[in-house]
Formats: sequence, C-alpha cells, structure tokens
Amino acid sequence: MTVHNLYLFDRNGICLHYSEWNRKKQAGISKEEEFKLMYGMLFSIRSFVSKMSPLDMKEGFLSFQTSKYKLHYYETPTGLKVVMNTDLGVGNIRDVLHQIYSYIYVEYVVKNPLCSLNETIQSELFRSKLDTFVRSLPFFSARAG
Amino acid sequence: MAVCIAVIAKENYPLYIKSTPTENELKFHYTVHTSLDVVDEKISAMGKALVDQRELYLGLLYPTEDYKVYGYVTNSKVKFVMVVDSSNTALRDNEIRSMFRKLHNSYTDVICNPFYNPGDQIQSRAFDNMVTSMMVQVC
Amino acid sequence: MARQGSRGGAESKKMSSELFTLTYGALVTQLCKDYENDEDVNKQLDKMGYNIGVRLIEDFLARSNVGRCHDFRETADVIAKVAFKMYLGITPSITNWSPAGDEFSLILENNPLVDFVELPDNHSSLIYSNLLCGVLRGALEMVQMAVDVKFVQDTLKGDGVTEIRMKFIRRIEDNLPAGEE
Repeated sequence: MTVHNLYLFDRNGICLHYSEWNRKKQAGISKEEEFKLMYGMLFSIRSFVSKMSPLDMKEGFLSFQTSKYKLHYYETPTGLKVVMNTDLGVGNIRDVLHQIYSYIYVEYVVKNPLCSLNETIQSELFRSKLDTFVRSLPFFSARAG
Repeated sequence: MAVCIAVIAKENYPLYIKSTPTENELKFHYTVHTSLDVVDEKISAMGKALVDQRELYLGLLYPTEDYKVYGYVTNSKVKFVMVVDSSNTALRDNEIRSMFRKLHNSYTDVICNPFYNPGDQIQSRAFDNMVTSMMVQVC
Repeated sequence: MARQGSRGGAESKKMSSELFTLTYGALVTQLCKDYENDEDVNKQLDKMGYNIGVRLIEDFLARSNVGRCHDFRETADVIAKVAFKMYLGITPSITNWSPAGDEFSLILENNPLVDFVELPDNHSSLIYSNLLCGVLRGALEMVQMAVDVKFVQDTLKGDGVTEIRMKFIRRIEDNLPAGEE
C-alpha cells in the first residue's frame, strides 16, 4: 500500500502545493499543464456528479479508481481541494484528507500571516510537516506494495 | 454617607473630586488637600509592612469638629480620600472599607477604558454614577 | 491515526478575556491617534476584520466540522450558535428576519470587545466594534456569499443591546481558472 502523490488546489484553480512520493510514471507534459488538466477534470467531474446523481447529493464526488491507482478527493466549503493518489489497497480516506486540511494547511499556512493565500505555498515548515504526516500514514510504505 | 470623595494621583494632583453641593465646596477641597500630608505620613510609616488589602486602607486620617476624613491608597500610589459627616455615627469601619473597595473597583474599570490616559481627569459616567450613589445613600 | 502538530483534537487555547479586550482597545485607540478621523478608523477596522475573516473561516471549518449551509437561515444559525460561541464565548440571538429571508439581526446582550469601554464625546461616530463586521463579511465571502454587515444598535452609544444587521446580497460563483472554457 502506498501514497503516490498529493495536490492542493485553491478555489481559483491555482495549485498551492504538489508533492510526490512514489510516482513511477510522469504525465509527459509540463507541471503547469498537468495542474491545469487535473483541476479541469475535477471541476468537470464535480459538476457531472451533482447533475447526474440519481439521489440527493451528500458529499458529492469522493474518489475514482483505475486498474492501477485510486484518486481521492476532498473539498472544503471554502473551495480548497485536496487530491491524493494512492494504490488500490486504500479505502475511504476522507478523514485523512480532512486532517491534512485542518492540522497542516490551516495550522501552518492560514494561521501564518506571512503566507499569502491564493499562491503557491513557499513555507518550508508546511512542506516538512506534510511530508512527515504522509509518511506516518498506516497505508504509506516507502516502496510500492 | 460621604460628603466628599476625591481621587488623587500619585503625584498628588486631583484626578477626581466630588462633594455634596450643600455648602462651600472649596472647604472640602482644602480638607482633602491637607489630608494628603497625613496620607504621606502614613505611607512612609508603613515601610516594611506587608502590602495586602487591609494595609491599603489607611483608616481615619484626622477628625475635625464636623467631619471625619478617611484615606486609602492603591499599590500604584493612587489615593482615595473620603470626607464623612461626623454626626453620622452609624457608619462603621467595615462600611467605610467596603466603600473604598467599591471605589477601587470602579477606578480599575476606568483605567481599563482604552480611551482613558492614566493621569487624565476622570470623566467616566459609570464612575460618576457610582460616586453619586455613595453620597446619596442614606445610612 | 498519527497526529502531527501540537494540538490534539479540537481544543482551543485559553487566554484571558481581559487581555483580549485590552489588546483590542489599544488597537482602536492607536488607530484613532493615527487617523484622527472616525470614518477612516471605521474603514480600517473593517479592512482588518476582513483580512481576519478570510483566514478565520478556514480555522472555523477545520475545528467545527460543519459542512456547507443550504440556505441563509442555516448560515445564520451556524454563525450565532457555533462561530460566536467558539471565538467570543457568547451566543447572540437571531431576530428580525426580513420577509424575503435575506436579512436578519444578531442581538448581542454583551460584547466582550467593549468591557470597560466608554466612548468619549469626541468620537461619537466611531463604530468601535467594526472589526466584527469585517470578519463576518470576509468569512462569508470565502464560502461564496456576498453580504452586507453593519451595526444598527450599540451599547456604547447608549442603546440597550448591540444589534448587527446582516443582509445577503448575492452568491459568488466559482471562478474557472484562466484558459478553461
């Protein structure tokens, strides 16, 4: 079981942060294009899911999976989006993504007046806390399972 | 019932003074002024005494033929002086103490007002109301 | 689950309310000295409040775990019963709903920002707690609601209670990043 990578987007589609731990294959496009592609896809899936839902929506889009990986999604009412790609052995990690929001993003970015919101996060402290957190997750192992 | 209440800054100028408008107010101002010497005497006499609530109360400063003057000093050396009618024998020491305590609490609230600069004249309505209630109070 | 960071769970750190009140008082009086004109001070307080609000909302969402509100009434409830309680320790009451359901009043019996404060006569048009209006406006803007917030009654000006009027203006739609169709 492992975590491949993580994206953080703000409500305007700007990629605030990207980290990877175990990515075997790159997308073949520049990082900027990759972020745009990811955000565009998320935006479309969200509206697709809410339109086509046969029942009333509760939490909306949660995850999708392919034969090789699973993409998990969490969005706050303020429009902050946390996206994590893991391997298939991982179940619902919505609470983990919420913790990344509450204990890392809110603590080290929102509460730091020197970090401006709406642009890429420069804070080294944030990067290292996030890294430590992800590495400590029970479904993270340094070599792909 | 108090006939005059004064708050004196540590530099010995008045921050607040109010008397019942029955007679010559100047007389009260004079009484308060002369009592400051007694206050200073008492403070220097305290010397190494423990500074606790009771020591803040200075007690009867001096009696005149019509009035009794009581004093109280805060840890920041702000003084309260109260002139009481001599004929009012029902007022006991405890009551005087509690009146000073009320004064002290109201004074603290005035200090906490961000618009009040320490050293200014006290113009707070709440403080004024509290003092008036002490002077109007029937024994 | 491994907990990172220094907090465990959703506890708030305690601090003396007097320190908070005195800090806010010092802030307002310094602004009064710097700007000399009550209207400018009111504007600055609103701006500062706005900057606080846009960040405070994230902390609020992280700690309170409330989801999206479905309508303005739910928003009003959450503001009064959860947010005010969490940050100021008071629970204002909600009254005076407009017939269209887009305006309401928050009535605060006591306002911890104004403990011990008496407005001097030369600052009669100062809206002492205007920071609160900015905070509410900034916070709601981050959850896509444009609102107008203002004080209509103030105990500092002699009224019996403090009343804040909130009006819903419109919903702010999601922006698509540039280049997306």
